[in-house]
Amino acid sequence: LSLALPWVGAGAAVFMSRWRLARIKAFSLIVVGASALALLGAVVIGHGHADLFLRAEWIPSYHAALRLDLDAVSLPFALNVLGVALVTLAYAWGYFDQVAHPHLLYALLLAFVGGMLGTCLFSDAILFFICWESMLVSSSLLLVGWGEGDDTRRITQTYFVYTQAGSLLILLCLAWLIVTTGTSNMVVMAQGLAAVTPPQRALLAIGLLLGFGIKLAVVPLHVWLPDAHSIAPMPVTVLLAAAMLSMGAYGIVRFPLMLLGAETIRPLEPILLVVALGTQVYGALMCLVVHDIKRIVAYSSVSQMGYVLFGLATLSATGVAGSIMHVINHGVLKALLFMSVGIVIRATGRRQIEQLGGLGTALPRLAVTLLIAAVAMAGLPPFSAFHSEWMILSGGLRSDYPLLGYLAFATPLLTAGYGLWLGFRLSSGAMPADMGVERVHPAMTWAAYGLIAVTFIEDLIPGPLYALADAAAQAILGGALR
Amino acid sequence: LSVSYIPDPILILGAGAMLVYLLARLVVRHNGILAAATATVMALGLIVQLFLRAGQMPGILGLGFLTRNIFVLDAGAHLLSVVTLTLGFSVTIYSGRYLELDHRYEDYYPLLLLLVASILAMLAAVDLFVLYLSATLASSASFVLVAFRRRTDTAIEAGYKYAILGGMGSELMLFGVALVFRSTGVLGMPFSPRPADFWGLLGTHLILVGLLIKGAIFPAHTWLPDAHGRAPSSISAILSGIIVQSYLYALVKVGLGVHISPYWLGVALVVLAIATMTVGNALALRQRYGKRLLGYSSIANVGYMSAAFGVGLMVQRPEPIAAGLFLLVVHASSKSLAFLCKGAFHFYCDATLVDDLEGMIGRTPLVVGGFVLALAGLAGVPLLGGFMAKFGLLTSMIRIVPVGPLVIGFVLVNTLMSLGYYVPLIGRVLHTPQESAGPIRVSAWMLAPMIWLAALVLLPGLIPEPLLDWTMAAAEGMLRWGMP
Repeated sequence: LSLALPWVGAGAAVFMSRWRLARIKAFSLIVVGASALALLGAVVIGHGHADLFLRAEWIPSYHAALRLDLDAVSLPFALNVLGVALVTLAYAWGYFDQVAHPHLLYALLLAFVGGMLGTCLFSDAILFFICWESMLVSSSLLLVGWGEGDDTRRITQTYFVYTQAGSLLILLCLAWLIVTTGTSNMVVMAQGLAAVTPPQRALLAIGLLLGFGIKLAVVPLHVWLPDAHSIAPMPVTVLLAAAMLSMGAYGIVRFPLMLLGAETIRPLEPILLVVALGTQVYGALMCLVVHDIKRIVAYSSVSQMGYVLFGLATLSATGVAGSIMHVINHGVLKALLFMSVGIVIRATGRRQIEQLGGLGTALPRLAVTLLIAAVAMAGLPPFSAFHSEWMILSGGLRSDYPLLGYLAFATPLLTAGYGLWLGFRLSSGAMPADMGVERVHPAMTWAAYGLIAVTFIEDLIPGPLYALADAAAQAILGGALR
Repeated sequence: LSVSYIPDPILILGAGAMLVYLLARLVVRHNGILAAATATVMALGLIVQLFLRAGQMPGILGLGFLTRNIFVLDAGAHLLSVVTLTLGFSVTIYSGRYLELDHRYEDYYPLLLLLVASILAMLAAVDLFVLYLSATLASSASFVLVAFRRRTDTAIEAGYKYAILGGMGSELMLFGVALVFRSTGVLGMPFSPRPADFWGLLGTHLILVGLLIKGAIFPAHTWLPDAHGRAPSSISAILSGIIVQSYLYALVKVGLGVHISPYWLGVALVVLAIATMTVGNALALRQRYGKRLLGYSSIANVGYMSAAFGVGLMVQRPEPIAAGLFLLVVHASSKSLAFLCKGAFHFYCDATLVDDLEGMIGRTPLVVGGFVLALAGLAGVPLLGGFMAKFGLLTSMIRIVPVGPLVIGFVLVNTLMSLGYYVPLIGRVLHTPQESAGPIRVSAWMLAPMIWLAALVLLPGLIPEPLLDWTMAAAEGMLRWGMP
């Protein structure tokens, strides 16, 4: 670890440059592109030197230190966050053409991204929690300040109080861990776990799973999600759905799975599998009955997070690796789906599915985009989610409860059902007579095309992604924190 | 104890009160000048206080031996005195503009100085009678200040309510002091031997009940929302920020000083604290007036603090007490900042109801920013002091089975409940309605204290270590205090 110290300076500089850009960017949208490049630079530098460590004392009384770590587990999540943020900012270029207080908006967007990134990268439990909260606070402010619709304040309150309840539970468990092990450093914490008895571990695992489950929007803890996702401005929705949800998965991976160990979770496995299955099916069914197209996509997030939890709960290498891969694939596809839906809403000014249709003739390229997104979400080749869904499901078969694994095969059917329904309903048929179609900003459409390319490439060359996920899964199930 | 040659902040403030009064009556009746004079006195007191160290006994030019058996400045009293003087200084500067609503400067500033001076005296007092005297003097000054807007019925009503309950507290204390004296023949704390006969015990408990009333602990909390809701905001800021908590500190000090079993004192505090925080938060949910809401949230916070003190006393460990003191300090800056911002809304826009706050963001973003920061601090958002305080409460109590986890459970449920009013309030001030009145320029007198209080809300969250050390030293001092 001490070898890594020379990188401290580099790491800090990367982060500072990002923040300074954030301020400049506040004044004009043109800088957004430059800032996105800096984000990309952070990834490249961080990727090139996987041991990018920052070490500094902070609160000696709590043994808290500013520690950054980029290990096999945090890397895929951090990549996902940055990738989604990059595309979102490109999309936002077109989306926010007229917006109040753009500097505050962009500062908050960056704080949100920074919070998510910090959540992945800090290996100090207190700082992890602080970043965790900062992403909640910044996203709530984004919702209340720039939300669309009449009821933003009430919905934001629900969102905040709901997720904060989860956060308090997490905080309680973390405080317990910190006090019992005498450190807030997650690496050292793992060694001090001998002091925690198995019943206490089980209690901690339940508390943490509940807390992170709220963020992951596991049924029945998902109620905040559809409202919050449908009022947010589209770029914020993309960030919420494609990046922030997966932070719940990261939390589950990092604390219950890695720290407490798979053996602690094993007794809970059937419950988790059933809950995950329920989440998948419930989310998918809700997609079929809801009429607001943005809500449909929001509910599909619930369903997809069910997959992720299912994969993690199988506690098998295939399933866990599949989940990690699915986090990235879901990030790409959900961003794509929300973006195309956003373009539809922007172009036509309506969101109810009955009032839409016939876009295939009016906006043929958009219709193709939508269809691709829908097909890919259902896990059909040649798009990326095929691999990860396949891995999750086969992980389910290898778990101790193969019956549940077989049942889980039903979900892709439902997903295909609502995906194709959404895609065809919007693109085919006759266009309603009273529907006008406006031109949308090209940045929005090009961001979507970019994502299509990404999902294609990921499917055709799944090697690197698979290696990434596999390394993470090994680290997780090995339980070995460095 | 070493006698220092540093003058006593209590005397500085007392003398300053008279000087400011004479200045106002005889020379000049201009708000700015009087505020500046008062602020100078406060600043002088604060500087002297900062030069003092715990264990030192202040006195003028070697005359310290006169007060040797009356005042001892321990680490806790020192910490609270610094907080009191800081808040006193801040609200004085703030009043330099804010008081133009009320006039009658010649009453206000001397009373404010008197209030701060008597709180300092109470914190450092080791003589029961002096403690009673200074507590009563502080209460009397605050009765008048609460009812300062004497042209409004509600202020008079709040003042009366406070005077009756506070006066009752004072009488109980006086009676208790007399009984203790009858039993032991001395008044200096810590007592040896302890007042052990019936009258002595009755006396000590009466004193504690008197302080309980002044500390707004359930079921004697009823005066607080009225008093803090109706007083001028500057007064509410200092009353809610530190005065109530000082009585709580005095309560622990007296309890240990008369050798009540720390365990049972702790148990009583914990039980009452749980009721206090729950009642405070539950009632705050229903408030429509901004300042009453803040008052109820102060009750809840007093509940958290006394719970921490109680747990610490029960197991004789300093960590929970230190966490309680940490909360006390960050609550002082957050709550007074909230009151000062609220006062600015009232001063410029006549906004008293929570609903009136809508659209403020367009008119005075800076003050709204301070208000949101203060509320976020109170709600325990990370990187602000309040989060570190809550985190400290959790980590210090979680291993003290079974009472610690029980208290933590109540604290967490209450924290969640408190979000039920903080979050809508924040949403309300951040909300921009379609049309709103033009921007307002806030006076520098009012803005400056808000800015440094905002810094004091942020600082303990970013760099908590110095305050953690200080509160720990204070907590250890408090526990040693009761030892024979």
